[in-house]
Amino acid sequence: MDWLLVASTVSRWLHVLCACIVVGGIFWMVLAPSAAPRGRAFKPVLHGSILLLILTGSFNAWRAWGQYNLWPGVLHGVFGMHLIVALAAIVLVIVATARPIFNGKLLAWGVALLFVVVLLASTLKGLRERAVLKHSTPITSHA
Amino acid sequence: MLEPTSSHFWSNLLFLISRYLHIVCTTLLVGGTLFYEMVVPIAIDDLKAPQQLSVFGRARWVFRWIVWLSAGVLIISGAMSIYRHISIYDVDGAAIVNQVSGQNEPPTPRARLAMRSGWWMAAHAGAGLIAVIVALFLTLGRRLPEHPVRWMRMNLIILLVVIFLGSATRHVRLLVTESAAKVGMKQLQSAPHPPSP
Repeated sequence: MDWLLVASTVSRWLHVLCACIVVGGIFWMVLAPSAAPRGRAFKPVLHGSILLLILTGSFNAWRAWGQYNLWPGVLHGVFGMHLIVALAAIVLVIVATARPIFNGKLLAWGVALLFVVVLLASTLKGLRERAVLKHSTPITSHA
Repeated sequence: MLEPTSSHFWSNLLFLISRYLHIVCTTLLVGGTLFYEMVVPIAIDDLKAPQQLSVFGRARWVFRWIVWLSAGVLIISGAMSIYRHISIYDVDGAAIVNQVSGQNEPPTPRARLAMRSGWWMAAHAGAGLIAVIVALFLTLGRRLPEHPVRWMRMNLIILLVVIFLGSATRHVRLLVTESAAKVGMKQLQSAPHPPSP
C-alpha cells in the first residue's frame, strides 16, 4: 500500500474539514451576534482547527511542490497569494477571539478574507491539475 | 508555459466557480452544524425554558434559508463536477496504473474496486445526499424536531464521512487521470480539455 498516498488523502481531508469548521463556524458567529460573545466553548475547537490547517497545509504544499514547479510563474504566484491571505485571515481571527468576549467586527473581516482564501485554493487546485495533465508524458500510444 | 485559450476560458471559469461554491456551501453546512451543536446550547444555557425555545427557534429560522440555499447549490455544483469528470469515473483505474508501473499481472478485484473513482464518487454523492436530507429535515416544518442536538451530532459525523469520500474520490481520479495521460489515453482526460502549452 502506498502510505504516502493514504497520508495525502487523510491530510487533505483534515485540511478541508478544518477549513469547514473555521470558515463555517466564524460565519455563523458573525450571523448570530448574540451567541458570538459566548463562543468560549468554540474557541479551543477554532484554535485547534487553525493549528491543524497550518500543519496539513504545510504537508500538502510539500507533497505538491514538484507540481508547482511545472508552471512556476502562475502556480507560485497563486500559491503565494493563498498563503499570504490565509495567514492574514488567521491573524485576524486569533486577534478577534483572543479576549473572552469576541470582536464581531474583526471576525466579519476574518470570514470575508477566509472566503477569498477558499477562492484562491480552488483556483490553485484547478491550475495545478491542468499543469500536471499537460506535463504527463505518454509512454505508449492507444487508438 | 500554459496559455489560456478563449474557447476553454468560460467553461474553466464556470467549473472554478462551481468548485468554489461547492466548498463554500460545505463550510456553511459543517460550520453551522458545529456552531448550533456547540455554541447555541451554551449561549442559551442561563435562559428559562420558553426563552431557550424562542432563541433556538429564531436561530433555526436563520439557519433554514442558508441550509436550503446551500443544499441547492451543493447538488447543482456536484452535478456539474460529475459531468466534468464522467469519462474518468467508469475507467478501470487499476489496469491503467498497473500498465504505467510495468506490472503484467491483471489487477485483483479489490484493487479494481478501490481504483474505480466512480464508486468513490457514488459513495460521496450518496452520503452527501443523506446529510443534505437530514439538514433539510431539521429545518423543515414549524416545530422543532425532538433531540435536535443529537440529530445535528449525527449529521456532523455523516458530513465528516462525506468530506473524506470527496478527498478519496479526488485522489483516485487524479491518479487514474495522470496514469491515463501517461499511457496516452487522451480521451479519458476531463472535458473540457486543458489549454495547449
